[in-house]
Amino acid sequence: MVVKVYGPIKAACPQRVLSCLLEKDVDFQILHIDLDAGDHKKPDFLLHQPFGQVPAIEDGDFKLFESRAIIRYYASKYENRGPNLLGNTLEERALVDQWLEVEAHNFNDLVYNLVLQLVILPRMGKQGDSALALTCQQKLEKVFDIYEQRLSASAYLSGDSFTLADLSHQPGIRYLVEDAGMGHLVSQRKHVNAWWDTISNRPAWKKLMELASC
Amino acid sequence: MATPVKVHGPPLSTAVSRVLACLIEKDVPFQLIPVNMAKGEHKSPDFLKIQPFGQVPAFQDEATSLFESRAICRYICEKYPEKGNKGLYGTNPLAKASIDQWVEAEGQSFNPPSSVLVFQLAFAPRMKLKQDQSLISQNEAKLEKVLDVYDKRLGESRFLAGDDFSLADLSHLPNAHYLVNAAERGELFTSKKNVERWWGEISSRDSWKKVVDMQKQST
Repeated sequence: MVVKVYGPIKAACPQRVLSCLLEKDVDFQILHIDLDAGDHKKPDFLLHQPFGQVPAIEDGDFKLFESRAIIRYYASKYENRGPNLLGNTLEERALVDQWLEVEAHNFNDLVYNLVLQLVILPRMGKQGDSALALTCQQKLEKVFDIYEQRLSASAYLSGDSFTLADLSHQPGIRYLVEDAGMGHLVSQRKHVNAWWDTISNRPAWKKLMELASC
Repeated sequence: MATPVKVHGPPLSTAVSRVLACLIEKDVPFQLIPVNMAKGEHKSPDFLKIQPFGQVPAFQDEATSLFESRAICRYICEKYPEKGNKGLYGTNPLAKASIDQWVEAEGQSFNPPSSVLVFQLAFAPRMKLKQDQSLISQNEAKLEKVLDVYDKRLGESRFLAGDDFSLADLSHLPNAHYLVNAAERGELFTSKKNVERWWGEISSRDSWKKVVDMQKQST
């Protein structure tokens, strides 16, 4: 059974899901949603995702939205296939969850707003708010300082192995480094830099980047 | 004997109260360790050791130290599956996925606008800070749209994730409580039939009443 993933392959939240499916070797089919054309707000799509956001998945009769819920589901369903993205003990799993929540609440909004102001709005021919962008950047510096401290104690955010916590950061950091000119946030921090280097060179991520460049 | 389960933070904090509600639903005894945020205790070196972002809550038990309220809630549910409300985090993978979906919806769609409103309408006046009317209007509009989605969902399902009260509903209690009781925004909930019904049910749970009591006692 092929998992249908609704969303554009170039958008961050669908990429979070696709990275996970690729890590777990789960077959998927991408149903492209044209955000510029407002496909995500049309009645058809709202049946899949009532908030009008991407991604949503359909796996047979099973439907789910919210990328971090989707990756938790598949990481658990295919726990014994491919890399263990969840941790082994109850405590390890809780740490994975903790850093996944950190990404969702302390990291994601800052990256989203920064990228919106510096990349997305200009691409649409609109003026970005450079003061807001600067505020986000300054806050992100502090977040990355904490990541630097954490990653000096363990190779990955939740411990010694790559997990959903690290995976969840891949799309946002790619945007920062490759599209928003914010690579220095990563490269100026020794452990964050090494971590990004490792996680962005994972075969599954590289495969996704290949697919997204077509 | 004192329980090893410790929650650090003031019960008035929405994120702290999220964890307290979960512990009480699960019938897990705990100690609440106060953190005086007005005095900046959450930014002290000692506190930063258990929560490097300087936020509340932080959680400790005999096995681990954790932060992020929703991660703490999941951990409590996974650690004590047989205690208290056994179905709080679902009893099978599909139920759990639906709960995670709506916990994420709370975190990504409900929490941002409701947090701004709670701060602007309930906390800013008490802290003698100037309110930002444009921020208030913007976030009221956002929250209305989110609650429209909830109203449709709650017309199809008794609780957000399904037929039973779950972490997904619980996660909404702290912010919604302040909106209704401290920010004079009860109409956001009462103007939508299904949301009103849902809010009435979840806010009258014994566990939430106990948390509200703890909040009152702490002032």
